[in-house]
Amino acid sequence: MTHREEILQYIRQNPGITFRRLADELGIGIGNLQYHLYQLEKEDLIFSKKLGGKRYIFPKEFEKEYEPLLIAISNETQRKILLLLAEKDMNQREIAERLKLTQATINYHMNVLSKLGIIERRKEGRNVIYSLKYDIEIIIRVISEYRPKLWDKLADRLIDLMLTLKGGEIND
Amino acid sequence: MIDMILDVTIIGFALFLSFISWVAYKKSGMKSILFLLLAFLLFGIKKALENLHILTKVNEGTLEITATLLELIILLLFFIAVVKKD
Repeated sequence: MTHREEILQYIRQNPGITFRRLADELGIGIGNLQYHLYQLEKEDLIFSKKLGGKRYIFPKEFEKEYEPLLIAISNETQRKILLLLAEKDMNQREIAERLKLTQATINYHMNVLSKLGIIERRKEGRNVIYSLKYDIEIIIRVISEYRPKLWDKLADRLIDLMLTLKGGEIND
Repeated sequence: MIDMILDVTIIGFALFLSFISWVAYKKSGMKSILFLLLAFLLFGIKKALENLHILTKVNEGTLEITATLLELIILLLFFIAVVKKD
């Protein structure tokens, strides 16, 4: 197997891996890896996206799925919700209690995640239970590498503050 | 001199808060955050106007009325930001 095939196979096995981690785990020099990734992108076998100062690399077949995932993890509360749902399926009340946020705030974020197709809801009696629709491993890998900028963190807190102030009035 | 430093700090902080609001608006699409952004921005502008006399000769009476009017608009914008349904 050539070096390039080995890189491609590793990316296919670990969609959303970051450039640095890929270099570390495969033990390839930065310059060498950069060259092979450039060639793989040129051959339309992979694509990469920069977010929160990190470059995430995905196999080409992941193209339709990556965008909602990266949008979802760009918000702090949504990242926390996804990590909670990676532990087990939960309802909104449990999530609100665990994150110490109002149900209205959680409701807003659940709607966003649901519209993005990252989570799904099912009815169990009078309860609505949420679960992840994405591969848990990919979600955890991408979130664990994500380093938000200071203004991103502050913006996320401002959003949650506005949602809390507005209580249950948010519909979007 | 100290009041000048404080005013510059306030203008800088108002611009920083406007930027944070802009990022929050881009992320959430919540219109109420746009009102917050405008309020922070106007606050910075008001502070700059109050110091305009350093750079150019201006009518103090007009400046005072403008600054007070801006204060009213800022308060209204904060109010709308909180009560507006998104």
